[in-house]
Amino acid sequence: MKRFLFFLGIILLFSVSSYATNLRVGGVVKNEHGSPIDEVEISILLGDKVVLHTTTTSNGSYFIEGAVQDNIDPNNLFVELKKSTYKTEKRKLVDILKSQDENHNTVYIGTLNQTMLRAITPAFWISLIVLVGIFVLISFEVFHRTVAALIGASLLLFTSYTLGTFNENYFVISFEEAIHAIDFNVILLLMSMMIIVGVMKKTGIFQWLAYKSYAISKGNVFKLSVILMFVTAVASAFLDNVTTMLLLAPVSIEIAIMLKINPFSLLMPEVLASNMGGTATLIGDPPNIMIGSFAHLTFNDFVINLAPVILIILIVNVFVMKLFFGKEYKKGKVDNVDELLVKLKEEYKITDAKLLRHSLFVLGFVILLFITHGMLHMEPSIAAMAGAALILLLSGADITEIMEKEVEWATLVFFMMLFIIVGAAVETGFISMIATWVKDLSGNSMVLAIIFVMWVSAIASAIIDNIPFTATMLPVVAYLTQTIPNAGNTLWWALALGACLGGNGTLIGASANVVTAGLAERAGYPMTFGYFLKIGAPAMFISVTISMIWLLIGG
Amino acid sequence: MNNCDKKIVLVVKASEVGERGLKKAIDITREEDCNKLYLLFVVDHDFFSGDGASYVKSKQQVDKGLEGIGDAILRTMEDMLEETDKSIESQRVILHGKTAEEIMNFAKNNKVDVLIIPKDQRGPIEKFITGGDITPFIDEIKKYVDKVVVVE
Repeated sequence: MKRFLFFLGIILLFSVSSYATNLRVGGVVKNEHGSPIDEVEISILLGDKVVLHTTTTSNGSYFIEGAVQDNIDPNNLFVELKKSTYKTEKRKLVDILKSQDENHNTVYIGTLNQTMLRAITPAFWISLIVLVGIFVLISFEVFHRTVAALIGASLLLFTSYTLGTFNENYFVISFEEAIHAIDFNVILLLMSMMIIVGVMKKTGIFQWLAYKSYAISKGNVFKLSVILMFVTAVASAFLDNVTTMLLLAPVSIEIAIMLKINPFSLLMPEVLASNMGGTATLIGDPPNIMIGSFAHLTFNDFVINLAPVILIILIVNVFVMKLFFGKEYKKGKVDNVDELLVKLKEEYKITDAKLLRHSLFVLGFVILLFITHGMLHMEPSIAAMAGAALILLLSGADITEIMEKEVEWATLVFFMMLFIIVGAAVETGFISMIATWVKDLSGNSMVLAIIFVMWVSAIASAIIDNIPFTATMLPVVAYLTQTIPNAGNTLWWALALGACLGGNGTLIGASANVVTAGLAERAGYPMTFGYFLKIGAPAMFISVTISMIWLLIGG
Repeated sequence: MNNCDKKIVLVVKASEVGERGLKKAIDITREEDCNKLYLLFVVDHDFFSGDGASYVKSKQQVDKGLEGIGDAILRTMEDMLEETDKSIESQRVILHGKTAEEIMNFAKNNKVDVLIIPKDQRGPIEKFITGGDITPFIDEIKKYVDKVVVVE
């Protein structure tokens, strides 16, 4: 037996020594936009025979090393690159270096960096149909938007792992790519802010602010409207617009009814200011959260670049609102100011002072972390998570109740599914096709690119949900930012301003508009689509024009 | 104390059509020789169709706001009623739930004789978005109420 093993060892040794030549090949694979391509199958061929095999990493790089047959002809080495959504490439390895390792074995070293071109496969059409289909389903509210997105994402993955298994041309997106496409920074940030707001609103602070606005205005309706606009804008800059309007609007309606004025004269400026205020910060509106996370822009970047122009827009819109509602403001019946003040004070008082102190402390702490998150190299979601944990700890709030009632799981699932759908459109090349088209249209001109991104975003956001629109535009703007000379971050600001301010254009442009319309309707004041358009569209037009000028002059 | 055995109910709204509704209700109350008018408000947080439903997460919070709005509307209506006809007294009816369903159930369980509904001019988009439309249910309501008056 021992003799048998000895001979076996000798045979193995000889067989190994006959493969003593090593081959090392590495490189980076990118698409025509210069973005790295992951999961590309790399095969090293000696003639037609595959001798080594690997796949590219998430940054498009690959490195492959292995023993090959001795005495190979280095001129007969090829690299084959395959990915279902790209055209297969086969390239000859040139400029191969010959060397020796520490064991004096021959080592051939080759490099191949390759640009792969898109292939229009059935997977491309599937991802395109799903993306467009989701936009249609969401816009016409055929299904709840989360259901629509879930259907789309599951359809893409299901197709990939059924049809795609038998024919790679139908493989749209892998499970790993789908998970990678979900931006958990956005999901965790949204969830954490929902927890913070959920606890905070129990204090009655929002309604108290509305009452206080009325008290400060001393019955002057125009002054009241201006104060409410700024209160709403500041609240919306840090908290979500829907919650802000949901809590402030009933108080405004009540005040309007008691003053015998049309509640729209307070509600319209408020809701428009809410959408404007949300544009000013990283956490003010979901499109900003998505942009910040995708482009690695900090809270301070948003405040420095957007808050000044939003302040200008707000001030201009104060006068625009006076133009629309000036007569109504004068109609305000001010003889019962004190009576109404007493009623409002009783009705909208701070319900839990201790909880308010804790909430304000946590909010301050979170804002401080947001301000410093860039320096700390901390994702903003971590700052919000720390705040959410702290507020739960300090308030002693029932976590089950908060999770069930305050965290909008349907919205979070919608975001996740949407990221997968857009990720699939990126994988199959549809998004890069749009990016190329936009770049060609702008002709490398920064001015045209700003105008195009801003106005298309604004008009689209006035008609369709700005969340899927922004998700689709992120890779497009990233490409434009990379390729247009001296673009800096300007196009990101154009997208943020367009997508957020565009929501003011129509009744369906923003969730806050819909909530406000719902509350007004219950009071007997149906906010029609046409009415909202009459006030909202000019406000949007003026706001976007100011933003455009701001960016064009380098603001 | 009502001096007639008829129950006259007005669905309150703060707008101009709501005021016209009140005037109509006062006229009917006088015609029927009654001196009591029921003012009905529904706290309906079921705002939206489809996607919109997810916006209203904290129903209690919304209800509190709507109750405040309802109180303001009812106070305004009571003041107007007092200014117009002091002989007619009012009684508040505040219901919680879906507008059409609640009105129907109230009519069914309380033998309502006259129901006055102020009807707003709303297009299909806003009806779809904000819900709360009782027009399609008027025929159904008529089964339980002797007379339904729609004020436009």
